[in-house]
Amino acid sequence: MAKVQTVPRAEIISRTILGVFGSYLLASAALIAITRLWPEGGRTAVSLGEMTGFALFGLAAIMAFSMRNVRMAWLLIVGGAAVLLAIGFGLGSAGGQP
Amino acid sequence: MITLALILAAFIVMSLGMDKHHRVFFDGGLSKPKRSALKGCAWLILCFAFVVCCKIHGPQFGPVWFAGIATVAAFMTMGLVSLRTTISKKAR
Amino acid sequence: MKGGIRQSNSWLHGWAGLLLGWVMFAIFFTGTIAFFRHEVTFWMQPELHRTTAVGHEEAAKVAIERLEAIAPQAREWGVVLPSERNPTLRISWDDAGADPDNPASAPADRLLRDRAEKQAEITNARGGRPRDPGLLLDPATGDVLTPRDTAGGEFLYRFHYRLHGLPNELGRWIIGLATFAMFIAIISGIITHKKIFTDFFTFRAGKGQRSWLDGHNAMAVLSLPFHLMITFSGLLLLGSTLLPWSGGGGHGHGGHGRAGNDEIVAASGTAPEQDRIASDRIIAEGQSIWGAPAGRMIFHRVNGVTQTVELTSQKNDDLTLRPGGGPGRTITFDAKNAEVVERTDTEAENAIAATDRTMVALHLGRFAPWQFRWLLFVAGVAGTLMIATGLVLWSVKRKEKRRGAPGTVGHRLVDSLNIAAITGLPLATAAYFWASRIISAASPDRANLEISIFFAVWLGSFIHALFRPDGKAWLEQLIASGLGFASLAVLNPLSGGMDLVTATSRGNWIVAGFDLTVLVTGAVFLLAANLLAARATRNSSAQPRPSNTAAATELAREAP
Repeated sequence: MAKVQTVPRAEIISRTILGVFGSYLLASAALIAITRLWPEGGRTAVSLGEMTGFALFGLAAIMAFSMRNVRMAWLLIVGGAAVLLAIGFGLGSAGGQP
Repeated sequence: MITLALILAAFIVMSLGMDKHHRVFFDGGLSKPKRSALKGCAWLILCFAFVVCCKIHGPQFGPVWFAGIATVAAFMTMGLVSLRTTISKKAR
Repeated sequence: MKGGIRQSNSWLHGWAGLLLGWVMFAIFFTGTIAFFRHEVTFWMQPELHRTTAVGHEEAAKVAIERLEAIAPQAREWGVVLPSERNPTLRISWDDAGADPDNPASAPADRLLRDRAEKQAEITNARGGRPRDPGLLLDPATGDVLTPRDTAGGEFLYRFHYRLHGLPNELGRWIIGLATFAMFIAIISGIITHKKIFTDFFTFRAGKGQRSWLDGHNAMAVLSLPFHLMITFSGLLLLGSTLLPWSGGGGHGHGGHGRAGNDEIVAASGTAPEQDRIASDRIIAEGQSIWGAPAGRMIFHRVNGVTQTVELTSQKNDDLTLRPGGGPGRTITFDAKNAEVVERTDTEAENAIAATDRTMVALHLGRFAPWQFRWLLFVAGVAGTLMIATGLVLWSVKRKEKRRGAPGTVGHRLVDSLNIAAITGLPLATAAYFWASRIISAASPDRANLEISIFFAVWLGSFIHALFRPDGKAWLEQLIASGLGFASLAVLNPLSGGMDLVTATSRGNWIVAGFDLTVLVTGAVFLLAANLLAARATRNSSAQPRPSNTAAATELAREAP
């Protein structure tokens, strides 16, 4: 696209990586955290985790391309995923999984 | 069917409440109070249609039917409105 | 991509939409047909067109009589009662552990059984949920129907969520990626085209790029609830593939009937089964408990005598019942006195499961009565057109920017892929339906042959699009698809099916509906071709331009 020239190529690559893999990471982290934290676990936790995960995926993908500050976007998305994973593995003890 | 008619009516009123569409039907623009009156009226009919739909199909299927019928009604409205556009263009 | 949320989202929308747009188109197209997959299969088997449904009680009697003749020793019998989506009666049996050379069967019945068992092997080899060997019966006469072997609507349905010929997981991943892209394209599309909500019902025909954009927006916004629902639930349906971190706690699909209840003391007797099983009372009782029609029966048997009968509803009457793996209401009856042994309703346990299930149920549409099925179909068509217009818009935009200069190799490839997807896939589908009637009913491996024809035509359309000038390729493929679909209604009675007039007058709406739909589809394709041709001639006489770009921009001017 013609507009591409106005943004450095590196930034586009960075945003694309963040949008694709970062969002996926966040979605996975949300699912893992929820399935580990949910008291009884099982199907309900998986359902909730998937629904939240996919919703976050959409949100994160949009953020990756919309936020003015690329670093901030990286921080929010990857940081968010890290926090979720930390909470999931720290507090949840593979709680519900059958 | 009742729901369809109601939603269709609501959408037509709604389109009249939108500046661009209004111009097509009548010459001249749209005053602010008139616009909000039309839009308000449209939303009222929509809400009424929703209640009717939920009465007919029950609380669970009602909203689902409503969304489905609204989609069809929206396409019909689009057909009607853009048909008007071509007719009025030819008339001029 | 430059500053501003709208611009960056517009960029994202363009690329997310383009890169997997062709896959999305195929998913939407086949998925839309899949709402009617049983009806499609029924149409593709003209041997079945003349069956007429009878009452459930009567049908059950016919089924039991047949089953006792064919598989008296089976440990399980299955019966699928006639329904509005399929008037035939299906019987099946699970012979595990029974003596294969049971002397009780007459030679003719044994022949039927062997044939059904062979057929089941072939069908199960094609994939899908494995089925017990079975037969289709005319419920009115009890005659065994021998429809031609076909993958039918099932093929399009399976293609919709896992493509074809690929390992299951890989197919699902490709579909999943397209769904992710779709999800992002929808959100970024809403952000980009915020204005669509202010001129909601606008459609300006005959204005080039503007018309395509209007068409694209209209298709997107007017059925936005459907698009959001179908895409999000699509992700949920593929959840265990896309986010495989939940420890295999599968989701949605995969329910299967319980095994026989061993605790019941085996009843025995010598009277024929149809006298022993209180099928009339069982069906009546079940239907009155649910207030909904019954759909299937499973007979659990010991030593050739039915102990209990499991009755399942025809379809879900509630969105929070288990949406996949068969309807979610089951009652087990004592076979002899029709007393309720056990009732299971797979209601969701909590709000989260209910939300999940509602989404998935809406996606699968198995609960839907025919009127609602048509609403889903119409919304599916809107989605298909939304993707088609979006794809065309992408190349029209670049074409208007180039102002008649020849496109790059990339642009050329995009154009060809657009043609192959938007007109090639419908053409391939029409060819698939044609194949079901042209290939002799007795030819071996015909189901796979039909599928090969589908892919051959699709590939052919891509090659055709690569080597023909753009405008010509569009035009020719539109005409071919239009004729291909419309002629199906003529082909149908000529190849053993029921003709439209008879079908309508007899109320056979499965066949009549299919014929009418292909006629309308064909007419729409021909109309589009006509508009395109008219534009091309008008324009080439007004201002001669290189024909390929001219015609393609012309197409761009037409309403979708």
